[in-house]
Amino acid sequence: MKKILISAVLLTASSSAMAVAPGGPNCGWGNMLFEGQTGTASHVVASFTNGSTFNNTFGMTFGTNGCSTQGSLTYGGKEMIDVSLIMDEFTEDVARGDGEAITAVAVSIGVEEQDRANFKRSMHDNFDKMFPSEDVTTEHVVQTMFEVMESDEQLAKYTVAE
Amino acid sequence: MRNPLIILAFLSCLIFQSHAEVKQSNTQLTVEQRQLAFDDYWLTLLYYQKSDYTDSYESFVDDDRFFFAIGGKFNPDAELQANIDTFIEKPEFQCTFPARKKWLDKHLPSIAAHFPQVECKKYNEWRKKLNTESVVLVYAASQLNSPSSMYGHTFIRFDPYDVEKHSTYLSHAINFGATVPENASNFSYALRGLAGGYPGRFATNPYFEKIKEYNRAENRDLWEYKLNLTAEEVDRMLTHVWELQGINFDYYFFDENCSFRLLELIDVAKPGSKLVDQFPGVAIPIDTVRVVRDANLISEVHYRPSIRTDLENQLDSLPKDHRALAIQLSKDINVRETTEFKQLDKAEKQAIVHASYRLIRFLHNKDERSKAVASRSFKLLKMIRKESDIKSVKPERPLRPDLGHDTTMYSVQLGESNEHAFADFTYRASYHDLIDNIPGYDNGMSLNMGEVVLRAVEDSLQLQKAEFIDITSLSVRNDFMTPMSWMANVGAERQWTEGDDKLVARVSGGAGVSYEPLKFDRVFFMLTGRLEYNQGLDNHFSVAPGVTAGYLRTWQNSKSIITVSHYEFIDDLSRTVYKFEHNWSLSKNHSLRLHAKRSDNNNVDYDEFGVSWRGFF
Repeated sequence: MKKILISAVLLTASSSAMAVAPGGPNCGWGNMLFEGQTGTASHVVASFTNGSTFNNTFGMTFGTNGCSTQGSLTYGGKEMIDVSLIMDEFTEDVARGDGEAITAVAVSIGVEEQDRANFKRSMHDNFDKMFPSEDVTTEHVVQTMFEVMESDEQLAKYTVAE
Repeated sequence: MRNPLIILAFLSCLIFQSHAEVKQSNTQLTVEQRQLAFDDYWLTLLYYQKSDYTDSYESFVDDDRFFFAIGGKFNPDAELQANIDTFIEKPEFQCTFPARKKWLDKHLPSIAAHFPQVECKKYNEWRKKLNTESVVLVYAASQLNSPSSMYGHTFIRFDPYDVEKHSTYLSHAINFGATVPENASNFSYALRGLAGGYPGRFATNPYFEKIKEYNRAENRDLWEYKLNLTAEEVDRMLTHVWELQGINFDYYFFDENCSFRLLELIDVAKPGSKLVDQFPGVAIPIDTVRVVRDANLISEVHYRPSIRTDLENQLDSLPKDHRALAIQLSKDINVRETTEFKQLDKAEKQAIVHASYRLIRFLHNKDERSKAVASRSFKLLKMIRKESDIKSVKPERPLRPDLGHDTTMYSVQLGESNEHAFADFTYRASYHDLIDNIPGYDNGMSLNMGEVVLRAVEDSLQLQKAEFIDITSLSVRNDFMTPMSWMANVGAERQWTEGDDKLVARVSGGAGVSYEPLKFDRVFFMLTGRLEYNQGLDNHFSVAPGVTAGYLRTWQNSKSIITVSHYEFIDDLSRTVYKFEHNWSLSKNHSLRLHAKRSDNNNVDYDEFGVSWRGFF
């Protein structure tokens, strides 16, 4: 098969991997939301080669970019979605009371279909508790989420480790 | 790769058993059994391609870990035997290559009976975690401002049972792409990526990462084509995908790319489908989608607009003064204290605040983090929360990209140039220009590669134009975005010089601005530069700065464009071209085009008219 060579036009700088945000105490909601992206040139290279993840993960672990808190967010030995990775979408969904991200979180912690509307409403009603300021961390958000669930008759059962 | 244990077993057979039974306990394939190595499915599983000229085979896979026989890349039957030997000698490899194991179980049961039993813990866990019921082919549409993504991209998504009731965020995507080493941070690496120096690999990620990457970071719409594979076919695909973990293929932008590799996965899932055979040369992502569609493999299509498409739609749906308010509010939170904002009713406020929040998120997606922006958007978020029940308006679904015109074009044109009649014959390898039939394509984007125009004039046939690459990107500036428009062009064309039309080579480029004065129209202005090799000029290599301006109009079933371009050469030579072109769409794959051009050169001014018929296939 022929290999057609093409030359690189318009490419100048680095193709460094995805920017990794600092984790830890300063990794608040404000920071997470506007996670820095790569520069234009690397963006171009990435799209040409379609090599989107440079650490070529094959396993089913969730990524560790952004303000990942992976490891601290399992409960009952069960792996749940790393909320920090979808924090942007999740936050808006909680504020609105619906959306794909909040559904994904509900599904990942095992909330059955019939309880999901209630889950979303509870999160929405407790927005101020979950997100007290723009410096809130994922840990706080997730912990408060479980507290809210525990205090809800229908949702409490999902917070008990199986 | 022969296993000494096997030989021992074989010897013991000779000693203790009758001759008749010897063959059965032997795992050495008979001549007949070896023929199975040329079974279509075995060849597909190991990516063997038969040469058109000789009787030889070669696998696409460029990785020794994929083969057990020495020279297995070129030898399907030696590889078959070596696989059998390895599965017995090192049973753990049955877990590395479960699809081969399964195939051997079925086709060579007497041999497979010798495989020691193993428990494939990691593989089983992986399968359990994927929990796949259906497979979706995802097309990330082309994006205007990034030349490389203009052809689009495809990858596959694995959906768990009953995904409609859940969230595709939790599905997994499998993507084939080049692997760029982490320390790769210089120009040569960029070059290799394009020319094919990187190993290509499959990677799996949660689908929400893909959504973030394409929908959010790159502003590309995603089209999700659900495949109607049976449970058995899905199982076959997954079993094989596991075998590709960490395996290197060479990656080539044009042929052995993301889309081509996915077709192979479908071929593995559906034995005999042979989708790969439809691409001897170039595999443009959208064409691979068409191949899958034409094989009747698509059951439903879902459109996932990009964050920008969503946002533009949301802002467009607001009345003009509310739109202005939303934009102001995203810059200054105090706008909410103004009487203008306060006097609005609740629903109006909701719409403005939500659009404003989405806008600030969009604008600062790529910025360095800033405290001020975080604080402002958090305040907007709290306002959204107060005004619950916000429903965002979903953009209307545009025409499916696979239903747009095909990618290769040929045309016949009749006309008159400089008072001589001519006939042009054009072939263009790909893909779409500014006034080609628009449905399915991005408006304001032109990407043409490999165009050749032959012109018959009087008694001669000459090369009129040969375009290697020709890109124009008219990204509209508006009240919240200020992208650059640009063009780039490399090729050769006829140019009147010193009273003669000479074939000249040229590279040109330009950058500027575009606006949308009316819906789908574009007015643009660019500063340009041209480097020309022309033997008719005093300086054979000549440089010319210039300007180009134009207006692109979209009608019901046609488009027109008027352009004026001017170049001022260092050789005291100037050229001005005024051009009008109009394209009527006759059907999806046919159009009628008219053009009129006036060229003012220093010593030759001439006019040209032409009417052409264009077909796509």
